[in-house]
Amino acid sequence: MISGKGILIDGVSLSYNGRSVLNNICMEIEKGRVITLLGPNGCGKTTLLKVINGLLPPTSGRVYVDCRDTSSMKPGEMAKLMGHVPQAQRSTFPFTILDVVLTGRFSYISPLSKPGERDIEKAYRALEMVGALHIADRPYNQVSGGERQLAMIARALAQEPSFLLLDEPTSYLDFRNQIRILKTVRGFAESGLMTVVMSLHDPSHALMFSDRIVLMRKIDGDCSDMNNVVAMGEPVSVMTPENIRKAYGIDVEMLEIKGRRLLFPL
Amino acid sequence: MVGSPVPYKKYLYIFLIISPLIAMVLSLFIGKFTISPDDIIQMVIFNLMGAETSHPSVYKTVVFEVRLPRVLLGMLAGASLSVSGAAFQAIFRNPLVSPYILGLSSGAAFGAALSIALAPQFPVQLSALFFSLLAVGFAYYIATSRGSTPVISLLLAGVIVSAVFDSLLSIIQMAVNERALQSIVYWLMGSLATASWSKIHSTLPLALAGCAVIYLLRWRLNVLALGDEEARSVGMNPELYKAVFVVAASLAASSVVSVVGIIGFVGLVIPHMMRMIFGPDHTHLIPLCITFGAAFMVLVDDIARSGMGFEVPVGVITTLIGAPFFAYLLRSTRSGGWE
Repeated sequence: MISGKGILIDGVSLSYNGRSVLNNICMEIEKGRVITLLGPNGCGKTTLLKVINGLLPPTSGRVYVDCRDTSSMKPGEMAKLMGHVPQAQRSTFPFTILDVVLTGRFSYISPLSKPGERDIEKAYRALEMVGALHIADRPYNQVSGGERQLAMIARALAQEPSFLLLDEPTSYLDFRNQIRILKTVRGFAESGLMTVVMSLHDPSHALMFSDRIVLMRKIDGDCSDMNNVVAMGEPVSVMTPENIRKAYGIDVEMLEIKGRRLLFPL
Repeated sequence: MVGSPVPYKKYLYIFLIISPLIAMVLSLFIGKFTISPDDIIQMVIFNLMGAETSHPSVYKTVVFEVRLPRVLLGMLAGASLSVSGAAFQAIFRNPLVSPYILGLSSGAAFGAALSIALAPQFPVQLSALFFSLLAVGFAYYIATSRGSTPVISLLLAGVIVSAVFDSLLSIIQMAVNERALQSIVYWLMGSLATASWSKIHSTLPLALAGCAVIYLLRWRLNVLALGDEEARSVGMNPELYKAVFVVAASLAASSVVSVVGIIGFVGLVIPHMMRMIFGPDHTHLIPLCITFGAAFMVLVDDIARSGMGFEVPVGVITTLIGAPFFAYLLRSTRSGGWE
């Protein structure tokens, strides 16, 4: 990486209980882009996002964010740099949505303190950015899955990160909210606010909203030289029927309608 | 609670925060030995000013050496157990958890029995304290592997450690003579009857330290209660905070249990009650647990010592009074806010 800004993933491998999940992943993520990880269930998208965020230490390899090795970063520094929205959200306690979003301010609040007016203001602004201001006072465990998803995105935004990692952000959302969230995160990248790395399941969403697509496949635990990445780069060059077959093992047809590409299963 | 609470809740909040003071004053007037309220007020006022009164010395003994220490010890016990319970429920993200989940009570019971049976000259309090903390330490050690302590492992480890100490307790109970057995059983039921200033002095430092740590770090319980990974992604080291809160909550609970015996229900139910009324935000929940826990315990103990013709162990009354109150709240707040 010449400029040094952004994320550099350098030969990352990870195995769980001797089974290889990620094998020798190398990629560069430029600042200010939207990068989508696409691939079948179990191909390592979630794992890769957790490795980038430092939640999982890789078995080998390194991740650099803005030229800094993430393994040497303190959790608080990481949290100010990178927000992570996990796939499943659960809570046993009926915290209000606002209380949940406020936890995103953790690394800005000294240990013996609690969120101040500034933090509350930032939490409200984060909720506004995802269009969830109206549910601020509702209990987190009594709203819909989609609203919970919005709350978790707002929580990550409250961290004021330069990188936003989203693990299947559209999975619990209805059609309208899917598009709204994707447009919103696209807007973050376009306005230079942050770099977005997300995993998605819908190839047409990936084609529509990404600057770069990383197409991944599940690797065979025994086959040591197999790489997770089938192809990466510009959406149109990555999403070819041949690459889709390599990743998912299914045949698709590429159609072009009104200047947009769409994939249809055969 | 950061939003705008309903007005009556605001007044209720203020009332509950000052409730221990009301309970304390009220409790000084209650007891089997009859002293007129006028005399008590006079004695207290004179005593506060450091002046002597002409009341019979037995009056002074009853008010200042029997009732006052008992009330204060009750407040200390109620506050510590409630705060400890609130912290454990947040750590475990589980409504069924009490301060005794990691084997603290079983360890204390074994320690007390051991000292009663084998070394009557050795202080029961020290033995109970030592073994209660040992039990928690064991549970934590068993549940920790590769630097992390998943709460499910912790829960199971607590069950195992409790079972082991319960079995050891049974062996002691089988082996000892009837007199010792009676004191063991009485100790297990929990009572404030033997309260004294020296017991308060020996309980206070650890109980206060435990409560203070939880009180000062209380907002961080909100972050921890959302889940380990969720906590880590906003920059918290959940393993560190789990350990800190387990140590603080155990110190608070152990220090009082080792003096008053095993008083159940308070540590489970007071945090619940406060959460049902005021929501789960720990910045409010923790102070409420401290004050209402203290007031509840003292009032319940008033009933235990003077409600019937004979003294009933307070642990029995906490359950008999607390359960209907809890049931009412559970029914009136729709599943108590738990899903």
